[in-house]
Amino acid sequence: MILNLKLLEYSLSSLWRRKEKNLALVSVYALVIATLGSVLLLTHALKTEALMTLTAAPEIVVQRTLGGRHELIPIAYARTISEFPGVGRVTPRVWGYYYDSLVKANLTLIGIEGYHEQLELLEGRFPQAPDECVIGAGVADAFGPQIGDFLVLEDSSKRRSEFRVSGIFRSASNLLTNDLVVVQEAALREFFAMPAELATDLTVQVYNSREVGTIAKKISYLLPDSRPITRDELLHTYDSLFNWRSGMMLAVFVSALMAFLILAWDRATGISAEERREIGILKALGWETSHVLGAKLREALLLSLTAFMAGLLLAWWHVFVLGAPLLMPLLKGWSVLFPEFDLPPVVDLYQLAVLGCVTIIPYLACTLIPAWKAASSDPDDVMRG
Amino acid sequence: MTRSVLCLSVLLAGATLLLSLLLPAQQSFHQDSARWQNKRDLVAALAITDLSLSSEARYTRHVSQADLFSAFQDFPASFEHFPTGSMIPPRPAGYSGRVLFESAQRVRP
Amino acid sequence: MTLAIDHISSRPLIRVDEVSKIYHQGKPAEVRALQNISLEIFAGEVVALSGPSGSGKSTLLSLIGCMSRPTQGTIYLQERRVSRLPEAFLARIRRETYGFVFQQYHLLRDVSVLDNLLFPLYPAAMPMKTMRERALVLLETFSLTDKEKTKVRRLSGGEQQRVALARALMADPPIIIADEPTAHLDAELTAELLTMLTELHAEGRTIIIATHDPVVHQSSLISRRVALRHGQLADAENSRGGQ
Repeated sequence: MILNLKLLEYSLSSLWRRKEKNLALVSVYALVIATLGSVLLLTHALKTEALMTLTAAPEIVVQRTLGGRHELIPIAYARTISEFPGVGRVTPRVWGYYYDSLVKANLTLIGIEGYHEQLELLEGRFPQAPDECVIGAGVADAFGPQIGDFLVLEDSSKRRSEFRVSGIFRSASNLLTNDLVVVQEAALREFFAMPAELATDLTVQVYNSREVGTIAKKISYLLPDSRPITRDELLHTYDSLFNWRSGMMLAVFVSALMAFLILAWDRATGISAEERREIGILKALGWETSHVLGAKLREALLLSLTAFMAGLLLAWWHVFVLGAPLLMPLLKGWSVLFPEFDLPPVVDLYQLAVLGCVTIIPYLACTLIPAWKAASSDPDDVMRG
Repeated sequence: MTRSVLCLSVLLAGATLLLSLLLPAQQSFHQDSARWQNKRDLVAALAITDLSLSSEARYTRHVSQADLFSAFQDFPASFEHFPTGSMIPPRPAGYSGRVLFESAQRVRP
Repeated sequence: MTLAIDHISSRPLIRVDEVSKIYHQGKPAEVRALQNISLEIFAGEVVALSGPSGSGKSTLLSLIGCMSRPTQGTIYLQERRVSRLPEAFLARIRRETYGFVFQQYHLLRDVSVLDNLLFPLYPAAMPMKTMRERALVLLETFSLTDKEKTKVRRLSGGEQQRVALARALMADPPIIIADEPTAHLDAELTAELLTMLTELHAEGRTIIIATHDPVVHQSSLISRRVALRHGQLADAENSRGGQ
């Protein structure tokens, strides 16, 4: 116990003696951890958001393809599908995109039909007239309308359509509703000039979730030009999309990590003449190799644990307090700068443990191996000058 | 000894702070059912299928609804959408189309 | 002290038996530093090793001080074959039996005088408080009390010499090994060092000094003089020693 504390004491004074160098090292180290940690925290939060919310998505979405492209689907297909046993409601959906060349924003226009219950995440109400709309907070932010204002869109024949904003989705739902414009289905059909017998796609309700796969197969068998997308596939998409092993970001930051390790290796193998001399003197004074290594291990652990914790705290602050301003542009792309997302503060401890292992252990190795080399030679070099 | 005690307590304080952030986060999000239920209601009402992360291309806005085979979904000369296009690949699963060749030497009736 | 030093013992404290040391053996840079040296040192002796630079003085001191192992031959410390002991035992012997004063002092220049004194005792099972108390006593003995917190790089040569000697005494070792301790000292400081060594000898310590300084060599403190030439003993008669 005494020996442990004394070696720690020695390590501290040794770290303190080279404080400028060590401070710089801790900063770089913490920054690497913070970047990698931010990526992990952000992707895990997004993944959780997707997997927790999209479980309420339709069991099957049926698209139609023609010539290898998406095509509007005949509403008559709905009747065919709804005759399958086990299938509940089949709903034709009308939705599409609208590109605003001024703000360079791509909006997603969704048509809804019938009465909808008031939602917690909607400020105002769903459109109850053909000239009303509900917009996402991102749209509101980019174009500046309030509830009661008018959203003016130009349709394909350059005709202007005005929609009164009857509601705005609360920003807590940004991850789902950011770029949405919701209007009544009939109004959207008119705006898109979509024929009455066609729809964008069909959603299929399946009573027994175990039959979803079978029904999807039946649909593509009976309607060869259709492409069913099941909810499991959809969830799988998001599960693998932000999987921490995939993704360009991680690849980029892994190279940052490599660069750091090369730096650490360089620093450590270029273990300064001063440090080598110090190790030699300590050995000559009666320190065993294990004492020297123990002290160096404590030094490296103190340094890397401090950096790891500082880096993780920094990552937490960056992702969950600031909303990942440095990473979001990569995810959002060039389209429009939308407001911050309400990320769920969830972490995967396993990922963080892995992060700790892949950063701390190589650093320890980088520092200890050269120290061990220096410490295991005879102290007699010191004697001979 | 005071120095090492001080240092250990600083490390301990940091670890406590970190754990007090991480552990509750680990536990509470499953319990925060109202938050998720509200969002699920929204998803169900609008039949939402995708997160609204990036709206620059169909295959990044509606990841799960886009397809792999339409080369130029947005416009004929569209660029590769960097950086999102490199991070969000077209949906990897759920296609059943395949190429089938039939032999020309088959005996015809 | 682990070794009870017995003044009237007829057995040598240190016995160097047919020892050779070759550096970089089998390589072009091979150096035969010592060849077939035999030497006995008895408790309470003050032995001066002399000889020109490169004659093997430092190598012999490092072998005696358990800092390296002989290529051939054996070294006994109180009839224990130390030259074949594992590294950890050698470190322990260095720590508890020997106090070293190096030619270049080998103090850590960016560290305070007090901390420099503490280094030899870190691996020992002694609380920091006791270590510090002992260091303060030694600092007083060597009139360095006011330099306690000064960094070594700010000290004069004579002060550094005293710090080096104080550090050698931290573990209260029975044997002092000094390599050219006067190399960087003027006549006055040399005399001061000899006085200090005389006191240490009076306390019952065995002292081994490598030097080519005639002042040290002719000092009345020295009880035996051993000369080295080209890695061999120049005068075989003196190798047996004894009172």
